[in-house]
Amino acid sequence: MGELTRITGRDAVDHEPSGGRGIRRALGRLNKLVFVLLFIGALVWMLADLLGVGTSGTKWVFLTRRNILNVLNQVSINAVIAFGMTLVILTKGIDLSVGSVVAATGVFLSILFVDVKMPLWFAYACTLLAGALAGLFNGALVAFFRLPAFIATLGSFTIFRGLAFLMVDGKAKFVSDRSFKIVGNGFLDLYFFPVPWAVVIMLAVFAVFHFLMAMTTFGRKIYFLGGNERAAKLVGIDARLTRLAIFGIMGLMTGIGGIMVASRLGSGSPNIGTGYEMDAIAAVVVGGTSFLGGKGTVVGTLLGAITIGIIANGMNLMGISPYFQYLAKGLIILLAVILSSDFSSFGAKRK
Amino acid sequence: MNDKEPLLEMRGICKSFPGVKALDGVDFSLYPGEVLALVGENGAGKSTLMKILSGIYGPDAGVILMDGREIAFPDTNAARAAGISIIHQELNLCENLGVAANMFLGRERVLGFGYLDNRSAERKTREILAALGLNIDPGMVMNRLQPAQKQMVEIAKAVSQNARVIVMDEPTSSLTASEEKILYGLIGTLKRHGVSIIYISHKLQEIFCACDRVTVLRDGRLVGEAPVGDVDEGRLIEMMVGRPFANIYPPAPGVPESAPVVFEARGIASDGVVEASSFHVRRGEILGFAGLVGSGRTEIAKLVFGAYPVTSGEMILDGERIDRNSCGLAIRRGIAFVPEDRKLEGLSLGHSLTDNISASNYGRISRRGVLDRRSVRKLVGDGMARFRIKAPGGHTQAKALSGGNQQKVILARWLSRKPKLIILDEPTRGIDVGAKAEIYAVMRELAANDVAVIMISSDLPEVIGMSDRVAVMRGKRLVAIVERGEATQETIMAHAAGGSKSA
Repeated sequence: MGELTRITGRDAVDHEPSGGRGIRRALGRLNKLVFVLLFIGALVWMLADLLGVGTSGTKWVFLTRRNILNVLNQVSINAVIAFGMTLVILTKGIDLSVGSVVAATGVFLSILFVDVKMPLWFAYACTLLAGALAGLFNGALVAFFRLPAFIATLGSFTIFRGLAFLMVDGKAKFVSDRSFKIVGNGFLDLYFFPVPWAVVIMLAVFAVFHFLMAMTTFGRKIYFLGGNERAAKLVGIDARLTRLAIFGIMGLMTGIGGIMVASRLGSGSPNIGTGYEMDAIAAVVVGGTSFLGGKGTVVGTLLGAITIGIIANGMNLMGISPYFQYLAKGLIILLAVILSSDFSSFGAKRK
Repeated sequence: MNDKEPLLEMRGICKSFPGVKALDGVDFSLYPGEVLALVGENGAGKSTLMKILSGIYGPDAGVILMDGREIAFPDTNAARAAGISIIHQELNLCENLGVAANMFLGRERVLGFGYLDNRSAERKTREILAALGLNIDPGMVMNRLQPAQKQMVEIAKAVSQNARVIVMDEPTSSLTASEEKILYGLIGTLKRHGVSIIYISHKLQEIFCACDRVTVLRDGRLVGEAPVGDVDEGRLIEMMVGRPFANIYPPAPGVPESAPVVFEARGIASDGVVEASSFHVRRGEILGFAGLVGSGRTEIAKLVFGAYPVTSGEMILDGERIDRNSCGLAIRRGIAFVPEDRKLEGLSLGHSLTDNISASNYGRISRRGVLDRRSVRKLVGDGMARFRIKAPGGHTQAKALSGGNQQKVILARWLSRKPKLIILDEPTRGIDVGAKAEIYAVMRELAANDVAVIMISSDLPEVIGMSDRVAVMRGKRLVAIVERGEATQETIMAHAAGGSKSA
């Protein structure tokens, strides 16, 4: 009964699909945690500004347009990958291979551009295709060979890292052409101020994903499949094809991430990307997506990625030791999961 | 029996939840060696009362007395220690362990150094099972037992914990008629051992078979108490719903021989699941499927619906042979399937009513894959209105609804597609009398609107009351089709059990 009153008390709109009119729904689901964290982050920023504790000693370094764009720029790669990861986790999957695929696609791109001498746009297209194929490989293992996603991507995690090393014999391939670096480091000159290309890409990908999840039947199928796979099959949702598509999309996003990383560094490095899978999972989880499947939004994931970014940025600018930053980041993730709704019923069993 | 002192008494029990008074001054008494039926519609307060009895909730007011002494159950362990055991509808057993291991789960017999004394546990288990007249091997792994046997193990476990009161919540929901008889036998044995039983069920016939006395709750109040000999089914339903109740089954108009055949199966089979079976169903006809659990009723339905591959035989829908089949194709051809287990196979419980009704209707609420909000709203609004789904709105989570309303959500999902053939697997399991009548009315209305209906049910009076013809399954095969005039519990059971009525 308590359940019923809690639901009626919510400000949800009638007849709205979950994830639909996303931002409002997301606000309901995020359990206010992300907002608390964002608020604390902003407060720390402002306090730091007022007290002038920035490493440079000058006032107003945190709440400046430059620093805000800087944070968005820093979270952009993780956010793009995390959008894909949201779909995977919504259907009770996981992808551990994204870091390796980021390295492999980055290396692949630099080879196509430097050695094969493809035009840049064509090299991008081929790299995206390669990323999608890597994702479909994972998807086929999960959907058709019925491997648990954890095991399947644990295998491909090693395979793609190996491929990255093999392609360049273990050495990073440097790209001297300036146009190569635009995606990762360049700015799009808007009328008022320049915005990093990486931020533009992140926002564009976000818009596509939000539309996909909130407004299309494909999104509805993903939510229903994540909520109850057996019921999904009996309403005619093809679980295997949907899973395959989700991993394909995940791979495509990883390919975009790989391009952004290679461009930012100006090289295709087989060593890059370790721990990216964990960063993406962290953004998804802090953003309120449930590991039990079926619940979560890409809006949440975007806010989750930004939250982690703000806290990291605040600590950086305040000159806090990176060793301590690891600790803080881990604690934030744990806090997010403990407070997220799936676990909030702990101890509330006896009324 | 009432000359004895009550074993258990609950006096003036009140319990409120935010917005709801679940129990309002309920008095309840149970005598030693008595089987007491506790009945009422969903939401009448039965489960709240039982949760208070088992220490899950504390009452807001009122006292519990055992052997005439006041007693409090601060938690479930205290209730168990006082000898109160609950057998839930969903059994609490470890499927991967053996019978004896389950019996002593959490209080394992130990030789020393944590080494389990399996032999003594098995011996003790064998003794208890023998005392209850059960023929189950203590070493058997649970997942190899029949649902009925699992339930027996659960009951035996309660006995081994010296239970004096056993609460059985819908104990027959997964049992067949013959297994029910075994359960009643076991209940008789328990009575002779002086154990009292509180028996909760929606199937009223059972109460007359198994119980001594009946207590009726409605809207959180006690509305009646009587020996079962003093009431009949009609009177019980009246007490439960608070108004006189006519025949729960709407009249069957009958189907003319000339009505076209919608679906025909010719010797369809699927390896290891269903053996060659043939049947047809006409437009406007309700074809009942009866049989024991495990006889292949659900499987044959899923075969028609494309969830299992057809390995031989053929299926004809509207005069056309079906070559390739899958759930998606079956849905597109106009077949609908309402599964037996709503929570496991029907609904995504954490999702909204809107999401649950939308499933299987994606094509009609979107244009080129993009959702059309107006169509979604109309689909859900129409469905909620047509089936009188009691929910605050389309955003309500499916798990917040009662069983009857959950079933209506699934019906709303399928019926908005205007199917040609609808298959309902145990459509009224675990649903209260009021909602049952509504679902029967919907089925009749569908038939009147030329839909072919297949209904699978373990509830024989329901099969007989609703079906135009009854198909009987035995051992994964359809063995007989009984016409309406000849369908009696005896004829159906004779086919289902293979000639001998004992089975």
